[in-house]
Amino acid sequence: MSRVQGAAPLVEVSGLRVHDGDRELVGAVDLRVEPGDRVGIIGESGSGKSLTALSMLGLLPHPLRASGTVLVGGTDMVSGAGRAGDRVRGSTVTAVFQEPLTSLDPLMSVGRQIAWPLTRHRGLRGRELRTAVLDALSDVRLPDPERVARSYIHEISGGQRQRVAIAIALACRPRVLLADEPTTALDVTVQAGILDLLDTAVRERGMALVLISHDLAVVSRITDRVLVMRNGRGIEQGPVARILTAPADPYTEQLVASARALEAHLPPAPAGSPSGEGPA
Amino acid sequence: MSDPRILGADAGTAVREAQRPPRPRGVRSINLVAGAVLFGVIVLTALVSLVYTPYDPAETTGGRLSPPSAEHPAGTDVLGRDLLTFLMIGARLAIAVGIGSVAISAVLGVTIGLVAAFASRWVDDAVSSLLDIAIAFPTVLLAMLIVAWRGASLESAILAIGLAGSAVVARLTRIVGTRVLSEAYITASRTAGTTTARMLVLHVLPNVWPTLVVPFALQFGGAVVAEASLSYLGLGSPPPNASWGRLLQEAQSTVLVAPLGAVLPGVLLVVTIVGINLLADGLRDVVDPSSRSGR
Repeated sequence: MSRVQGAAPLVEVSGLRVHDGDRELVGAVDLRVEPGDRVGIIGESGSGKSLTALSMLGLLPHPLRASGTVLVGGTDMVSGAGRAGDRVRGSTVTAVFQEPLTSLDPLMSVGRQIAWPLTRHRGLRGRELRTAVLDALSDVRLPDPERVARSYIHEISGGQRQRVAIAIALACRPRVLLADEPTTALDVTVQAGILDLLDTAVRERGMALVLISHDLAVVSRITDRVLVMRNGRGIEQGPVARILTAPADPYTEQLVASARALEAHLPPAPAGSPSGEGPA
Repeated sequence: MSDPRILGADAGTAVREAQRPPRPRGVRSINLVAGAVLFGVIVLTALVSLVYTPYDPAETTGGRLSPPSAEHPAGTDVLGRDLLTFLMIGARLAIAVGIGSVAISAVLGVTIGLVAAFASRWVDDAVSSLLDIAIAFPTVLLAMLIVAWRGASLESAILAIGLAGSAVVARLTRIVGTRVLSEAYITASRTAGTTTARMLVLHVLPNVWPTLVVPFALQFGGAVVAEASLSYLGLGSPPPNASWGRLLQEAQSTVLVAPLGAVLPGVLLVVTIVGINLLADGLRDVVDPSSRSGR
């Protein structure tokens, strides 16, 4: 992976706090993402992982307020929620969310939903656009792209929907992809396929990845560095290998231990086990 | 029937119906077909009246209040004018009232509703309160004000009904629009850099639209009835360009001698309203692809 030395970081989060009125939901999170980095954010429900991601996108829901520094590609996403934010979103940073059923428009065909970012960010039209839409669908290894492009999301399966969501995100050609629990709503067999897809898509395009999950196994599988969050605070950050073998914080230790305990209860996986993903 | 609260109740029913689980396929298509046939007859009559009517509406050669005959299939009115001709013209006026007032309601109502949905809470609250007041304002009073300003005419009636209906449409659009804006796919689309204006065209309008189609169709029927009420009160235009409501009023003094003059416009009103309501019911399944096949 190419790492641009000396350049400003792609994403710089420092001292991020998120408030709901007087209540502090996220307190003092620091995170740097360089081009090509693969960072995991891990923590239990309500630990502030998703709010951190939404802050990076400048898309916190209405009454919530962010403070601190969030620079994405040099743009301040804390204050620059308006036009500046629209320019950064899609071209520099984009996201894939947990529930593909609700994060895709139910009344727009899959093809049109992919076509829009291609038009906006790459200026494609007409025949070029059609080809690019089908390419985007085959890039995420969807079978029969022509049919999928014509479908509405209620006509395809959960795993296929998430592939479509990833295709839309990749179509923007962003420099960093935020994946917020991208496999949590999916069957275990489908999860593996989606993680593989994210892994290779990001690697091939030299993009940075921020993967948010409550699942240590998922995070450790495709990221190099991990931020552990709890109660809205970043409590530990470091390389995956170090976090797994020598966690510094007692909470991290607990997380790793419970993940290992869970693993120990399962018989070892047979080599080359298939991961299927059928139609709805 | 001119009470705007009744129009409001119709819109409320439509929202509830839109949320109901789909009925068996057969029942739906019967509604759609029956509605299309009934309403189609009225539309066809209106279209024919544009190129052909049995008599000139001003022609008074039929004899006063003559019963149905070969020359005058529906009889004549008190001045000896052909009633069938009036009924055909009435169909044209009914369609014009429906289309005109729904168009006014749609443009005004959807615009106001979307502004309220997108706006900050302060603006939204202000708009919502104004809408509540507007909805409480009686259509007949509004119509009388407009007639006092512009004179009794079909256009005045359309304007009054359209304005009264737009408040209902605005409130419905605001509710549905707010719900759509809180959907995850709106946030997801923002992450791809979609601007607010784009969002409106790309995701909000298409997702608000299916919920509005049924109320619009119901409002079409309501508008025809409302215009009939206004005409019956004498706020519509007199023959030869009379709506069915005005024909009812004309016939009321002679209803015991020549009942057909009152019965026929009434029957046509019922056919129109029943037709459009059945059509509205069937239409819902056509506009919403997600209700076409269960997932």
